[in-house]
Amino acid sequence: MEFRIGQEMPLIKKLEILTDAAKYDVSCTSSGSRRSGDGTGIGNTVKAGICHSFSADGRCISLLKILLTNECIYDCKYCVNRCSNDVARASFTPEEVCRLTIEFYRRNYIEGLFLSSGIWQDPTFTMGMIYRTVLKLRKVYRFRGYIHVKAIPGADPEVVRLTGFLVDRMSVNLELPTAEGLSRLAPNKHRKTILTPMRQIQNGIVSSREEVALYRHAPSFVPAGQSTQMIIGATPEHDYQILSVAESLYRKFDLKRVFYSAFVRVNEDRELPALPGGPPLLREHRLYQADWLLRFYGFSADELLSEERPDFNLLLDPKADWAIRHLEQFPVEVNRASYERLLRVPGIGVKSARRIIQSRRSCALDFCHLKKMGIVLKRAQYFITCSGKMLYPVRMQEDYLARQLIDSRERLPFEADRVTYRQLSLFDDRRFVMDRQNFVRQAWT
Amino acid sequence: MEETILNCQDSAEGILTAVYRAYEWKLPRDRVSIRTGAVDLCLFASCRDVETRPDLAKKVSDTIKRRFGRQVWEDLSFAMAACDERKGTAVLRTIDLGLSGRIRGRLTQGLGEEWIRIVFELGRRVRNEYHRQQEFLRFRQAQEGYLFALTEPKEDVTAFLMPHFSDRLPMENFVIVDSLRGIAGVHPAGRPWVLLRLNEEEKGRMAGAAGHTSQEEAEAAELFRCFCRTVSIRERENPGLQRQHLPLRFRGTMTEFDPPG
Repeated sequence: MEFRIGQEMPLIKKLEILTDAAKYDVSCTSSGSRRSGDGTGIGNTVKAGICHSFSADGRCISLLKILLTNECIYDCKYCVNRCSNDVARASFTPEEVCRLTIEFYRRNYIEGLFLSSGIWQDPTFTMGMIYRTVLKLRKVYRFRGYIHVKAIPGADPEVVRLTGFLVDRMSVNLELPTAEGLSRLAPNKHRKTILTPMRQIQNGIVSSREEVALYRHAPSFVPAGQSTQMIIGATPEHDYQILSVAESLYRKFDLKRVFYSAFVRVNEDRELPALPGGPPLLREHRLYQADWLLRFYGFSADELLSEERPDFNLLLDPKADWAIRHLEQFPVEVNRASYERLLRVPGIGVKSARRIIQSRRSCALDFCHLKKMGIVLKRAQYFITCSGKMLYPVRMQEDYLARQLIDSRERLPFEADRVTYRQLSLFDDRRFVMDRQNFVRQAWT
Repeated sequence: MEETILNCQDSAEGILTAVYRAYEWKLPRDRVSIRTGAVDLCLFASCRDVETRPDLAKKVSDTIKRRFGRQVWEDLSFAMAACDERKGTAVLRTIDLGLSGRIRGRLTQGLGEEWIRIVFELGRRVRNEYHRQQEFLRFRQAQEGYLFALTEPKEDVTAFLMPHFSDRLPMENFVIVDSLRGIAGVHPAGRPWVLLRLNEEEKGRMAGAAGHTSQEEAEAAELFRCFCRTVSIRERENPGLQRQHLPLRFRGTMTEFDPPG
């Protein structure tokens, strides 16, 4: 028989435990769904999403990100909630989740609810609890704000389907980029059980879109699309593998987003890598930058990385890195280049490229116009011409451009890499440093 | 020829009335500037006051919508809410450019023209402030049960915030107060919202409301503070990044940054 101590705990304590347990989930966006209020309930959604606050780690707080329970029957090695860990356990009732969501929402603290859960008894039971909670929030509390829930791998497809009609976004965590990594660190999870609900949600979204096109008031299934997340740095995959997995997920599963989560070592386990420098945040940042290039800039994973060059250059953002390796394609003439070519210029984003295309219809643009439009000339100036002229005479040389493009605001690991692109200094000479240390040592003795 | 300065009220209606008068009085548009607020006297300029007339402003707004479309009207409306002296003149010159037919495509996208670029800059500034107020505005529950939010926006965005929040919270009584300009948007539950200019007494009353919140409010605020504290990952802490996304100027009115106790 099982005994539980402290089952009746105050709401604030439960919130603390279940927020703490949910904080490693990264997909906290509230975008992709537009729904206006109905005049009697509470809430609406905005297509672009709204972040309501930013926590001390600089990540946005958009949704009330909690677990329904941190009880779990699985024993994933990287997870703080694994069954072999001795941590405080708690569970919310559906009523408590609804009350918290509504009270936070009406004060404009949050944009909606992000509900995940540990595996409670079995996957179908857990998914059922999530469904009951969301159903209550939608039907009893008339909540029309954003809801994101996790689809639990292995749960009955019917429960997943019913939940899909109530929420804006669903996600199934891929957890680790390769099946080998998954079997090593999450022995209870299998690639197949993860991909099955993903495919089910994808098919549901497609058929729902067709129904909505035919019957305007047909209920829409997961209107904000599905997402997933991968842990970066827990297993030895290269960036190329990770990005290729992301690319195939976008293509084959029509995912809205793939999130990358720098591995934080919360458990002591010999299978987990030691990270003396902390979580690989810069690597995560580069992957996000590359992810944007895949989704909005028309790049493919093979263009950015290859088997010979499987990891990103940590010193440069992937677009600038690609540009300096393809100098034969530059400079680009701003007044004539196509939208696709403009998008490949470092410092020109989707909005800027659109603005250039629209405003050059009435007059020839110069650098002054570009600056006022919001183009980042600091980076773009090396790769563009306006009416055939560059801003300054520039040496189109890889090392020179790399030095100019390195962003000193990023926390760059200059010491970790032999390539620095910096001007050689006397102190870079290893022999000089050795001599100096010897000199200091001798002076002390 | 000397320049003419039209001095009008600092509101969309005031600016649009001045635009109407500039055409009605047949003033050469490239020698006219519209000022809202205090006018600096110039030696070679004549100054004329324009009294706000809603009917004339409506005529101008109807013309803008008819000739250039709703999107351009929206862009100009955002620009007119900016806290910037150039806005009146920029709107006038942009309309003039549009009527001249020199700009192809959508009027406000002809960023090669300086005045259109100014309208774009001002509009972007107001849109950004509007978006940030949507994010960082915090309601508190008064003892009487209604919700109130005290804000200090850089631009005059209360009129844009009201449709957003009244769609979101249709069954709530709430007030959004712009403490800097003395403007309040009031939304009675289930009814349309109104915009008010507050007198001194009302301003004082609204400022004092912050000290009279309900017990329920204190509990909700404590829960949210606990949530914000816990959701941050210690190994990733980065106050610089937090400040970049959430500048310090907003934190004075945000519940999660209230001093403890």
